[in-house]
Order: sequence, then structure tokens, then C-alpha cells
Amino acid sequence: MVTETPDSQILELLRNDDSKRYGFNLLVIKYQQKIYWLVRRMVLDHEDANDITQNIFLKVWENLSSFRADSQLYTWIYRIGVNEALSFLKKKNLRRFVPFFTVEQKLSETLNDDNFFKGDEVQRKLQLALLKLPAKQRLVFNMKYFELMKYEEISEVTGTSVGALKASYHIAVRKIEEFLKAN
Amino acid sequence: MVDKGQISDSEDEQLAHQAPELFGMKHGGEFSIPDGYFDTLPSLIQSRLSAQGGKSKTARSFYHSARTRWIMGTSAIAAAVVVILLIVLPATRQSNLPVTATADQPAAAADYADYIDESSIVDVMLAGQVPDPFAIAENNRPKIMIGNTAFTRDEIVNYLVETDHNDQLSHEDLGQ
Repeated sequence: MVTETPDSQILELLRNDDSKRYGFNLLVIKYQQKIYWLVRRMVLDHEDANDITQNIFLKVWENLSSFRADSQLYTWIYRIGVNEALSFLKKKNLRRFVPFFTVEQKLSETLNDDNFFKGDEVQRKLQLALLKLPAKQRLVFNMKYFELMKYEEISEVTGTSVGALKASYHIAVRKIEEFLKAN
Repeated sequence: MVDKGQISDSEDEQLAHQAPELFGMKHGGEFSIPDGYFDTLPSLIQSRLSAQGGKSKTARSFYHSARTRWIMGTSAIAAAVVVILLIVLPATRQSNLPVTATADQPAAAADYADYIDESSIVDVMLAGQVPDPFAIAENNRPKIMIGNTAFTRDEIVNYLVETDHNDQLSHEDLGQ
């Protein structure tokens, strides 16, 4: 198992021009999986998730100078990740000139592709239920249920109050439970 | 992945009570990824970074922001020009209108002079294309009879200025 480099050490390396690239590589190694899964659960398709994940880290690199030390590194990276994933879905919806099917309906077809989805039938149903949720609600549910993040952390990432997040999560849980029972 | 311990027991209980199907579900590992994907991703990102020269996106951002500023600046100037034209044009059009005097608002001599200066009427008159309206007006003015001779008011005034006989005529004689 690879030992995770502390954020403070990564930030120290990033501050120095000579060690900046090395520090950035450590940052990618540390956060790549978290960011990838955050994105993958939103867009489902691996190729899309791969592109978006790479773009997120490039944005992190380009905006390193705007990172303020008073916020946590992972929160800042997550925030960029969330924005990228949501804007990707939004753009994809806008590009569909004949909106007979939403992106979510199209994504549900991806779940039938064995090359990408290897979960059992119950997990497939859960993903189908998730696709019925609005994108932001789905994002909150993913961060809470799959990533096991605290409401306070999600609040920092999304800029939404803890109360609103709790309400959003519980509504999502209720909808999913109803879907699972009905199907 | 985050340790399950981050979720408090009370939240687990709440979820188990509210959504038993969801609570009992195993999750993780439902999506497949290519073998060794996370081993190659950092080098892929580094190579993209090198290909962009480390700053190409920043340059594109600068270009983008410069283009946005140019569009916004041009739009602001165009809007300002339109506003100025909307204000100035009606005023100009009003000043080009012939000066008309009414019973309530007699036109000042200065207004007539401005109108004549701004219009090309003088040039046209000098070219002899249009009869001089002042000459016509002068001819149409009422004459003052002194004895059997009719004089215009200007002729009498000029006579009085040139001679010292102004005290011999009353105002009534001058038609005032």
C-alpha cells in the first residue's frame, strides 16, 4: 500500500518552483482515486470519467496560485471536481438538440454494458434509482452514501448549508427506497 | 476510501429505519476500470501538462478573458453611441425646424438669425434663386403719409438721424 503524503508536505513542494511538478505528481497520486470515483458515479462512463478527471487535475495545476491556505486542499480539489462533473452533465444535456431522452436516460443504457458495469441486479437497480434524482441531489447522495463524507465536509465542497444537505439527502434516500421497493 | 467509522451510529440507525432496502445493500466495486488505470493516470496527466507547456490553459484563459473584455468594451461603446445619438438627434432635428412665431411666443430676432445662419437660405438668395423675403416684407409694410408723400418707417428714421428735425414730428406721425 502506498503511503499517502501529508497535504502540508505537498503544499510545501508546490510552493517551490523546482519541486512543483514533483509535488503535483504526489497530489495526483493521493487524490486521483477519490476524484475519479466522485466523477465516475456521476457520469457512469469510464471514458468520460477519465477525461473529466484529467481536466480536473489540469485545472488544479493551473489554479494553484489561487489556492488559499486557509481552506483544506482536498476540499478545494473536490470543489473543482464537483463543478467539472456538474458542468459536463449540463453541457451534455444542452448538446442534445432533440431532447426526447435526457442524459440520465442515456446513461441508464450504460448500466447494461458489461464492460463498464459489473455489479449485481440490486446494485444496477440502485444506479437506476440514482439516475432518477436531480444531478445535485445525486451528487450529495453519492458523497454521503458512497464516499462517507460528513455533512460539514460536503458543505465546504458544495457551498450548501448542512441543513439543506441533510434535507436533500433524506429526500434522496426516500425516493431511492421507494424505487427499490417498487421495482 | 473513507473509513466507515466517519458515519455516526445514529445516522446508520436512522438510515436503517428510514430505508431498510438501501441500508442492507452492499456497495463498491460495481464499476469496472481498465487494469492498471490508476498506475498510469499520473503520468498521463503529467504528459498532458508537458504538452501544454505548463501554462497553455492559462494563456487560453488570458486570451478568453481578453476576448471577453474586448466584446464587453465594444458593446459598451456601441451602447453609449446609440444613447448619445438618441439624445442628440432629436435636439438637432428640432434646431433645424424653421422658426415659427406664435401669438403666445413671438420668435426672438436671435432665433431668426440663428435659423438663417444655419440654413442655406442666404446662399440661395445671393444666387438670386429666391426673392429676398426681407425686401418683400419691407415693401409690404404700411407707409406713413407726410403731406402727399408716402414714406417707410426706416426712411423717416434715417432722415431724422441725419437731420435734427426729429423734434418736429410727433409719435403719431411716425405710426407708433
